[in-house]
Amino acid sequence: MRFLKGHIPATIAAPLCKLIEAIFELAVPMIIKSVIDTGITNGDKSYVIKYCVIIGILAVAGFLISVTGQFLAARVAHAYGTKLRDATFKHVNAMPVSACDRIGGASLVTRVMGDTVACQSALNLFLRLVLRMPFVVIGAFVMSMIIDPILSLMFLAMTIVLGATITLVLRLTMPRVKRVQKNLDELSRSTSQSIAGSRVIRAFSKQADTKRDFDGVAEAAASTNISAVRISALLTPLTFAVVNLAIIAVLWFGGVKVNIGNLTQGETIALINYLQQAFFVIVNISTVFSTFTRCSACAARVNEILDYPLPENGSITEVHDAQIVLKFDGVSFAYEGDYDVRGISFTLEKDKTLGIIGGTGSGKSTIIALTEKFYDPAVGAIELCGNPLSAYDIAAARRAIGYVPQRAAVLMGTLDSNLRIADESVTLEREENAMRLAQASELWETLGPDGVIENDGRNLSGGQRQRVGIARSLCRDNLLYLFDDVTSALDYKTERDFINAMKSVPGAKIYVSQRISAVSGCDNILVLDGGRIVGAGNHQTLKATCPLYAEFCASQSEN
Amino acid sequence: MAKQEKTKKSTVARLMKYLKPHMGLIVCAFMFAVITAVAMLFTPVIIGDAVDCIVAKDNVNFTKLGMYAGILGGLIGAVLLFQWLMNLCAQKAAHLAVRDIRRAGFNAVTDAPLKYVDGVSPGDVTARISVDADQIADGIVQGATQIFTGVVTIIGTLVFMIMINPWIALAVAALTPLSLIVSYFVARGTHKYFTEQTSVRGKLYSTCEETVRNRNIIAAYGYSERAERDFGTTNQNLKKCGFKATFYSSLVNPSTRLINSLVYAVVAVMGTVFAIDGLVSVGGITQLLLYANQFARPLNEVTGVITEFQTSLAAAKRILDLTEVEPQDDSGETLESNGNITIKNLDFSYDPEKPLIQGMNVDVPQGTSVAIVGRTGCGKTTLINLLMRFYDPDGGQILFDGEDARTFSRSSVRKSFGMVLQDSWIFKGTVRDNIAYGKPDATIEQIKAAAKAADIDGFIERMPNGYDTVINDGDGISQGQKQLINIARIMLVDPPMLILDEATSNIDTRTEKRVQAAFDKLLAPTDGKKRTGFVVAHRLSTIVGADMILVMDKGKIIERGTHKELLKKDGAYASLYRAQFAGNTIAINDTIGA
Repeated sequence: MRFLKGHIPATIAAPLCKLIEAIFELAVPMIIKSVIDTGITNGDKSYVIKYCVIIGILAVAGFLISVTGQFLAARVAHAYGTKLRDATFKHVNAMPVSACDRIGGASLVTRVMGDTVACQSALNLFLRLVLRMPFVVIGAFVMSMIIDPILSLMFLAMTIVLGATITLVLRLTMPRVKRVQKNLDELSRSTSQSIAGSRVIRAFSKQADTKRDFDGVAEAAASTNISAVRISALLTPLTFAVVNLAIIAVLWFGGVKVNIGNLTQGETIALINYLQQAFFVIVNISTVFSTFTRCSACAARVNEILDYPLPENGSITEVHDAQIVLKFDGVSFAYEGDYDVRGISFTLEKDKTLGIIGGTGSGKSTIIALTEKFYDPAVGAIELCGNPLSAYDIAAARRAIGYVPQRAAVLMGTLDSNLRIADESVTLEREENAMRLAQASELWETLGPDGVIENDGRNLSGGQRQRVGIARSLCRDNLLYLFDDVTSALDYKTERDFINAMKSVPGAKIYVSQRISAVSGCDNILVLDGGRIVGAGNHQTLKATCPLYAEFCASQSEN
Repeated sequence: MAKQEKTKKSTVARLMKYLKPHMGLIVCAFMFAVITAVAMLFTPVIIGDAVDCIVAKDNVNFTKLGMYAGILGGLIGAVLLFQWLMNLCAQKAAHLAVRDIRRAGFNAVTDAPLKYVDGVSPGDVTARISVDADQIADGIVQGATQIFTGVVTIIGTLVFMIMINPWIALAVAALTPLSLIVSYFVARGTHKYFTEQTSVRGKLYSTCEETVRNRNIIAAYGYSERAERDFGTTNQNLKKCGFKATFYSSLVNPSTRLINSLVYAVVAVMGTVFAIDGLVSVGGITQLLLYANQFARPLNEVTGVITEFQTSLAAAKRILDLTEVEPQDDSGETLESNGNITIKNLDFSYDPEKPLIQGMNVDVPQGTSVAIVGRTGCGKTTLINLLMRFYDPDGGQILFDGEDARTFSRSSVRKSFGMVLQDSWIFKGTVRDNIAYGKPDATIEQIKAAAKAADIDGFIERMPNGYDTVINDGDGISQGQKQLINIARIMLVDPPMLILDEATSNIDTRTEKRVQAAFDKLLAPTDGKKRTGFVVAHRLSTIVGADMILVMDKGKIIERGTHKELLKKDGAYASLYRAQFAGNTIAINDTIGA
């Protein structure tokens, strides 16, 4: 609601405009009635023309007012939607990474983009219809009451029957529509699966089976659709039937009343007119209802984001150089349920290197995520340059750390814009030097700083993406570098050149890897297994003392 | 413009091919549409006639009124039945046609050369087959019936009006162009701004998606402010064009009402004036007013539907284009190879501008295990693509037992190889079906043996339903496990020749050792003759035992020989090897010491 601020007058004016239009509309059948009953009966042509001109004027005035209403409603809705999107997007950025991971990326994007649009459309619809719809229905009903209280009951009956019919049909269609949606998802899944497996399918010459499977999916989609139509196709004819049955009733009972002299011919016509006016509105109610139902679900999802409490931030805004750069003291952490890392303790001194090696799921990347404060430890403490990590302003702490994730992240843009993420004011010379240190001089030369990088770096190979990620971290001075398995897509020679080149860069470094070759040169190496440190020391000591490390060495070298 | 017209026409013509088998249904739909429209048009007439029966006190003709009520009831029944039937027929025809188009599209992609598949975006093809095809049902077939009903209604309305009073009908007809012009402008503006809105929203979407996906990096480098600035700018643009789109589209209803009201006023004036002169009955006025009330609606619908129709045609074109992809022929003799492979003067490139493999010559006698090493992009995987006949060479030949590969059918060439790739593939189905993909009639014992050989049996047995657990790409199963299932698949079929392209890249080194042993057994069974195999690997430890190592660089073989020969040669292979096993000085000492 607070996003409507600054648009209050328009928010009130828009439905009012629509209300006035509705009043004009309701007046028309009454005028026609008097035209027929007075004008024709008295044969007064000027009377007729006068009133019909009024109808015309009402129509034009109604149109202008209505357009104003639509204009205001659209403006308010879009201003609201834009603000809501901005706020949601900002909030997502401010939320802790752990919360984002839990909600899931796809869901976050849907909330920022899809759900806010749904709310915006619903607001637009609401402003346009909130006063108009009930007013037209009730107004038409009241008018018919004025003409004839008893016949207006017909009116009431029609409204109820119509409402019930629409609700029933929709109720019956809904599960089928859901199934249709599921079928569509299944079609997508089946297609993308076959494309992903195109080589394997061809290698086994299984094209025929694949097609047969797809045939089944396509057939199911068609038959679900057809069965859904069987019921939903009844909606329009049924509403038509209800309204016209009501008209028949009005005609018959109206005839009876006219015969007695309780009603005039013109009044009967006016009644039929009001029936039709209300009918058009009621038919739309179903759309309105489904929009609002969907919107309330969307609004709840957006609110879940906006109401997510932001974590408390520390007050230290500068990370000062210290002898001990990073210290883990008995740190344990669990993503869910059981601890993923347990009792991790180590210290990393200024300009030293630390290697972390272990198999998949041993907790290597978790240590990195804790250092970046993407997650907070459940037990134990982490210190960065002499202060607890939580005492820092989180942005300031991260500014001192050069982080390169395992899955290299490049953004759509240019090579330059990707490197510039680290520091907006970085010079071209520094970028070039960073690329050289990252063993990516060739890419720098072929692509150039203005070379286009496609979405998700699709035009780069995995190794090139990793090296752009490395170069980015080198575009500013950091006290600590976190290299999370950044050489996995590089060949061994490039890996070695990179590690050697890094020796000239000041700052403490953590190398995480599955490869012995990536960590063997480190001052200190941690061997992780099942979230615990099972060995620590340099290459030589570990080879002699840590069986797991020795096993890694054996499996990665010539016997 | 003329050209555009032509492509549009051909889309319709191509679409007709799929509609033809369901012509019966479509003709029925059109017939029912006419009946419905006529019945709907008669309703106001009957209502008007009925009103004429109610004149004044003691002047109501109940017999006639009863009759009209009966007719009206009959009309309602007819509309109810025939409109339902019309929808049913149209929808059935539409969905059956869509089903056929989907199948044709999917089959074309399945039969297409890999060159085509590699060149498309999977998301795009998926969208064509799922969403775009749906558009045909919604937009085109439904649209066609709506346009048809609309036109019948408009013509019918005018005819009936002429019958009641030609002058009034003329006046209404004169107002028609006004209505057309208004709805044309509204539709055009709406379309224009909606297109703009869609593209801006797409841009905003990708900014948002990118930011969320890379949230780690964005948090780590404090990039969020800049991302928010970008987002904010695009968001403001969206506000501008979104507002215009919404406003334009919201003009439809008021302008329909305006025109309706104007027509209404004109009909009312003329009708009553004529009535005073006795030229039209009061019932006639009622009829005219009812017609006037529903006059602008079908006109508006038709204009609206035509815009949608065009959008749908574009979607239809996208999937129809898919159905016309040339299939790859699978003719030729059946290969039953002994495993002698000769590569002669082989030339190949994906892009004529950038030659890749040039003048390659390799002779692989039966039973040889060949290892291919080299940097990323040197042509290793390309060679595999050519061996499997996924692609055909631009020049030179690949010979199986002395015969050109092109004389054999692709499927038989592929069946001769067991292939495991770096990107492993599993489909939605049970573990058992996934492993038995190449040999559907395998017994559970055979499947278990294959799983055991791939060192994945323990993992499978720990799954909730063991071998009957349904797995799907991407959930609850790691890259390494997927790769092991792919390996088990090959272990089960026991192929005459083997291709392993980085087949163990996602597996940790301890498991790799065990899998490697199983491959070695497959290549050189203790009781039978050795098989031909090609191995591509980054980790040189996996290939030191190969009979022949090919070192590739920029599409050429720069060194060949056994591990020992190549080390002795002290060239590219030796330096690659040393880099891998000598990460630092200590390690170098180790290797030398060992």
